[in-house]
This record gives sequence, C-alpha cells and structure tokens, in this order.
Amino acid sequence: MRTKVAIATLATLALGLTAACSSPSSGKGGGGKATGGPSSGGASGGQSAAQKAAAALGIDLSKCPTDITKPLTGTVKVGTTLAQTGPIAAALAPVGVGEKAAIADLNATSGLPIKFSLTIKDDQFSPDKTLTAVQELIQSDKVDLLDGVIGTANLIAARGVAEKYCVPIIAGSAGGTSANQVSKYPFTTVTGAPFYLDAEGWFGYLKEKFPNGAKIALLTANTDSGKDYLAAVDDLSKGTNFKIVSRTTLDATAAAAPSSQVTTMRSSGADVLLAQPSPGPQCAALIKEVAQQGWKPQAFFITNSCSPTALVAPAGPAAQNVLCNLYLNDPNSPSAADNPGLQKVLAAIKKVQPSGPIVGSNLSGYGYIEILFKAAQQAAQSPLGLSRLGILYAATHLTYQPAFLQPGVDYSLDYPKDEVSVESEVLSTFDAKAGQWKTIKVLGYEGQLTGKASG
Amino acid sequence: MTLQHRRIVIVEGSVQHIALRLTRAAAIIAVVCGLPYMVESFRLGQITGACTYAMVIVGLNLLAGYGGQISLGHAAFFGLGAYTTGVLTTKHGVPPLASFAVDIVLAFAAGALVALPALRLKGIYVALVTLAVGLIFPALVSRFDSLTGGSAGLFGVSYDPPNMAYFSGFNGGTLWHYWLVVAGLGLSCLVVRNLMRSRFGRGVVALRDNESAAVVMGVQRIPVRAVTFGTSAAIASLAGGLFAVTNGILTPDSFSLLLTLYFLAGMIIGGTGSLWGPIFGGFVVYYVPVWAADLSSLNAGTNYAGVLLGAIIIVITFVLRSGAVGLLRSATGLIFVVQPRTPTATRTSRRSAPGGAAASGGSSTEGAPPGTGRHPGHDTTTDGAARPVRSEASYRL
Repeated sequence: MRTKVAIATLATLALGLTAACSSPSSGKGGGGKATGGPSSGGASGGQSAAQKAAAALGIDLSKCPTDITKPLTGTVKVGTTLAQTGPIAAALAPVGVGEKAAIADLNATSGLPIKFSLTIKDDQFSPDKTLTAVQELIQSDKVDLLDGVIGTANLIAARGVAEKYCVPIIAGSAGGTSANQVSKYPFTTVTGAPFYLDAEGWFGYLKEKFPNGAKIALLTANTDSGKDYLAAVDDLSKGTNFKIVSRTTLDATAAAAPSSQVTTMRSSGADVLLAQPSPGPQCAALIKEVAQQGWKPQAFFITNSCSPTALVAPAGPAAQNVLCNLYLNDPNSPSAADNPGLQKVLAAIKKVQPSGPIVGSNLSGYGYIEILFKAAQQAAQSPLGLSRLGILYAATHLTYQPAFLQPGVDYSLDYPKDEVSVESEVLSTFDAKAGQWKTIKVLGYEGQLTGKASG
Repeated sequence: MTLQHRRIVIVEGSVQHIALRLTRAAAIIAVVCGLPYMVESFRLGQITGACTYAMVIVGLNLLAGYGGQISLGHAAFFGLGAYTTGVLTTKHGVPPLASFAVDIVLAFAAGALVALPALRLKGIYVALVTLAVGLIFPALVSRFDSLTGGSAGLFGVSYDPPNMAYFSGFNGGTLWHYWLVVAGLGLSCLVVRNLMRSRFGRGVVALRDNESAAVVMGVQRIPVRAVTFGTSAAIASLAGGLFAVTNGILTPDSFSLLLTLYFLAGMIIGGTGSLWGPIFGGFVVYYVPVWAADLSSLNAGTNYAGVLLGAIIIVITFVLRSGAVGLLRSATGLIFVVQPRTPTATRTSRRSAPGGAAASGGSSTEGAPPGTGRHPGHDTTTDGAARPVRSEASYRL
C-alpha cells in the first residue's frame, strides 16, 4: 500500500509540476521578458542626446528593463546601504545622519522641480548583506537611484544588481581600484580618494625628503584595500632608490597592539614607515606601539583612512609629527570656523542631530547626497533633462568643491578623460599638543590617475 | 460530549488517510510551483535564501535533533561547501553541478573526521570539539586569501540557468536559483527521512536515548555516529554550494559562529527531531534578521535581530518545547487524529495478506517499532498476540 501511495504521490507531483510550471512568462514574478526601453518613452526632443550620452557611457539602452531616459517627476526614491549595526557601525552610522540632513536641506534649497526621498538599509558593512539590501531597495522599494554605498567590496557587491536594473549608483564611496571600473560598470560612479592617490602622495613627499632614496617598512591591512596599497607602493617604488626592506600585514579585526609587526619592521633597519592599519583603534595602537618600542623612523606616514583626529589623538604625544595625506574635511579643525560653506552644512546637520558632536562621517554623508543634487541640477539644465540617464551623465561630468572635502580638494569627473573623482590631497603632520593636523601643502594629481586608480 | 470524542479519527492506511496525504502533497506542490507566480522576484530570492538555511537545519537536525549531538560547527561546513563551489567554479572552471558533488564528498569526509574525536566525548564536550571547527574556519578563509579572496570576499560565483524558455526571462536567474535550492531542500529532506526510517535511523535514535543499551543491542556506534555526522555535514555543505551560486559573493563573515547559533535556534524553534520543523526554523532565522534590519533602519543603530530570536527561543523553551511543528500537531490533533493500525501480526499472515487488512485493522509489520518484525532474530510477532504496530512517536518520524 505504501508503494502505491508513493507512486500516486510522485505521479501527482509530476502532473503538478508539468501543469503549474509550464508557462513561465505569464507569472507576475516569473521570467517575463523585459519590456520598455528608450523607444517607449523619453524626454521629448532629447532622444538623440540620450542615445549619444548612453553611447558615451557605454550603456546599451535596449538592455534596460525600464526607460532610464524618462523624465523623473514628483518625489524620486533614492536608496543607500549603511552599517547601522555591526562592528563598525559606530564609525559609519553618522553618515546616515549627514545623508538625512542633506536630503532635508537640499530638497528645500536646491530649486529642483523634483524632491528626493531617502531609504537607508542596514548592511553591517558586510558585502553579502549589501547585496541583499540593494536587491531589496531596487526590486522591492523600487528606488530610482542609489547613492553613497560605502566600501570597495560592498560597492562591488552592489553594482551587479544596479547594472542589471540600470539603476545608477551616484557617489559610491570606495578607494579600491577594483570598485572603479567605468567601462565594465557604467552605472557605478565612485567618489573617495583612491588608495593609489594616498601612496602617490607618500612617494611625492619621500622623493623630496630623501633624494638619494631610503629603506621602507610597509605595513598593510590584510584586506582588499591592503592589496591595493601593496600594488601601488610596488608600482611607485619601481625604478627608484626606495627599497622595501620589510612587509608586514595586520588583520583587519586584530584588537591587540601590533607588537610583532613593529618589532619586525624596526629590526629591518628601515628609515621610513608607511602604514595602512584598518580605520579604528588600530590607528592609535600602531602609533603608540612604534613609540613604545623606541623606534623613530625619519618619516612615518599613516593611511588617510586614519585621518579623523578621533582615531589619532588617543595616541597622545606618540602621534607628534606623524604624517598623513588628508582629503576629508574635519568639522572640528581650527579652519572650519572660517569656511562659510562648511558652516552652512554643519548648521543643516545640527537640525537633524541637535545634540552630540558633528564628526567627519556626518560631513561625508552630507557630501554623498550633495553630489546627487549637484548632478541633478546640472542634468536639469542639459538636453537629457532630469532623467536617470541625465543624472548619471551629469555625475560623470561634474566638477565642484564639496564641503566634505578639504579646501583645495575637488570632486571632478569627466568621463572618459578623467575617471577618478578625487585626485588631490593635503599633506599634513599631526600636532599632538593641539590634537589637530597641521597643513603642509596641497598635493595635486588632477587627471593623472585614470588608468592607475580606475579599471 | 468532550472534545476528545468529537475528534475525527482517521485510520492509518485508510482511504481517508491516503486522501489526506495526497492532499498535503498536492498542497506542497501547489505552493512550491505557485510561489514564483505569486511573489515578486525579490521575495522569491529571499525565499531561496530561507530554503538554503532550512537545508542546513535539516542536516543539523539529523545530528542534533535525532542524534542528540550538538554541533557548533555547522556554519563551517556550510562555508566549506560555499567556498569549495566558489573556488572551483571561479578559479578552476569546474561546472557548478560537479562542484556540488565535490562539496558533498569533502564535507562528508570532514564531518566523519570531526566525529571521530567526538566519539569519546559526550554532551557539551562534543559541542566544544565542533566549536573549534566553527571558530577556525573564518580565520582559515582569511589566511588563505589568495585562494578564497580573504576578508575582502570571493566574487563572481554563478550558475547560469539552462537554455529553457522558463528561465529565459529577466528574472530567469532568480527562478533558476529558486528551483535549484528547492530541489536541494527536497533531496536533503528525502535523505534524512529515509535514513531515519531505516535500521540506521533507529540506531541513531537508540544511541541518543541510551548509548550503552544501544551498543549492547548491537548498534555499531562508530560507523553510525560517523555517518550521521558526515551526512549532516554533507547536507550543510551542499546548502553552502547552493548559497554560493545564488548569492554570488562569499565573505568569511557570512559563516561566523553566530550563524551556527542561528541554525541551532532555527532547529529549536521549528521543532527538533521532526521533518518540517527545520524548514519552518530556516524561514524564521532567515526572516527575523531581515525584519529586524528594517526595524534597525527605522531606529538607527539598534540591532533587534538577537533580541527577537532570543525572545522567541525563551518563549519556545518555556511554553512550546516541541517547537512550532509540535504546536501545529497539537492544533490539528484537536480536529482529527490518525490512529495507527493495531493488528495482530504473524509471519504467516503477513505473507498471505500483505497490507490487505489495513483499513480493518488487519495484520502487518509495516512500520514496526525499532527492533521488531523487520530484522532477522528480532521478529517477535510470531506469537499472534495483539500489539500496536507503530507507536505515535515512530509514526511521526
């Protein structure tokens, strides 16, 4: 009897499968063919401009499931992912406050005929969670645009879905070369200083300070960004008198002081220390450890990821004269009071966060959204109009000085000539007594990093 | 008239019973086939993810629910399968289907190996051995970054759908992943179900309930424990392989110890030692963090996932020890009850009338409890005495 029941069940199963699953195209969530496209709509009179812009960006409009040339109206949905929980939420969660402040402030003051609304999804800074969050934002929340996805690996995770649905990612924040592949992922635009730029600044200083070369100790994080730093340092030291005598790595999650790494580097006889610990307590821990071991390298550069004073100041007097190439503005720097653009941004953030100090991450968040508004304003004036394609095209052909970047550091993109948005930085040294960075000079590499820091 | 008397009594093997089971099977088929038509692509992707978790819990349930051995290393076996598929497909061009086979073999061997030191241990000490596996795996992935991508992740793992009209649409990939995982889940359930209905399964339960007595009665402790562990790990690993191709990105954080605790929570919430419990539990542990993330987004910075899962487990522990499936059984038990056949079974009558007296309570040894009727030397039904052929507990298996 059991055999008969089993056979009957199997037969029912087979029949059920055949009957229910043989017509996929009729299902709501099934594999229906993508419809729509530029020919089904578009900005009046802007069709040829749209085709031209799409071709310039390397976009095949016929592959898009929806018409990205269609003018946006009313309230446009923007989505972003952010580590609101998890190990580095404390460092990144303030970005969300800045983003909300920018949406409220710029919706009121930008003069655009549309409004933007922002949906933030928590990704715990884990790339697989970023992917899930972006899928939900695009497929379920139906956002028109993505903005400010943070992290090289996270951006790589997000861009596949964004490309498939032709949803532009404006101002994705990543320093890794692998995240900035314009020809392969035309819908993804990247802001943030590339790691290559940081290394370029290191060597720019070293060549001046040590004309006859020097021995270098290199410490990198055991992450994708660490690999980028390694590759950049190898590239920049090639054919010079600078010799890398020690290479050590530091695990991104290491909580203990990097004693063995510092001992190894010190005993190598290096004159220069180039260090890229992961942003967080490792920055001050490394600086302290170098001082505690009595090592005084002639030049000690720390990655610009450690540039927030809150990450360096805990090292106390040990941080005196540590060098760093800054690109992010510091709301608590002495020069902030003399910067009216920055004060306006700080006032907008204060409205959303009346209590608590404003930190650099707040500014960055404001900046990611500000780039979107700047691009939208430029698109509105262009033949492409306020469409997704128009905003994407404008974001890739935009130059301005945002408040979240150091004075003298521009956001500048001009595809395909210039694919790297941040190509200058401010060489600075730490004044431990004042607890602040002191500017030495601006280092500019405008237009020189395309192909080196982009793929 | 009491509630007890108002319940519908369905005799096992009767027409009503067969109809009930066919209806249940048809309902499952309808839901599985209908889901792609009923939910949007994104939800189908979430359901696929939940089914992947359910697969791991089905495997864990074999080891912990039926076998009574707590494993804190199942996220590692899950990750082993994921990274095996990821590395083989992206770096060596191995077809995904072949990589799934490697996942299964590799994890079975790894599981059996882990089982060997665990054989001499009991309870919490077994958990500690597996804890080591769970802790070391993410560190190993980070250490061998040239192979695994390290903490930055391994990208580009994929399994393209076959060239069929059904999978040719814009969401063809999502559909394909859904059916892959549904097939994997079905296969896993079938393996566990058949194992537990076999002599081997009775050995697993006997070792859990009273190891000394089971060994005295002839249960081979070492092979049974090793195969149980190996099978459990292999199922988790296959789920990992499917996770890799459906997710496309692998990072060590995805296979942390916390994930194992989620799997254990899912098993408890769904109901240990049951077939449907792990599936329900898989959906719970997948969706609670998703909903909690939405809550976290609304209340920036507060993680509710742990709080919610903790609260659910506390409630289940105090109120509902048999889990959600136990609750469902109790609820349906108020409406109808399947009465096991209570025949008198003799070797002669079984041969002459196999199953023919099912509806009338005739004789049969089908589904006899462990140690009776099916095995040479253990057939004790020749005296003609009436005895229940299948206890309710064994029927649930």
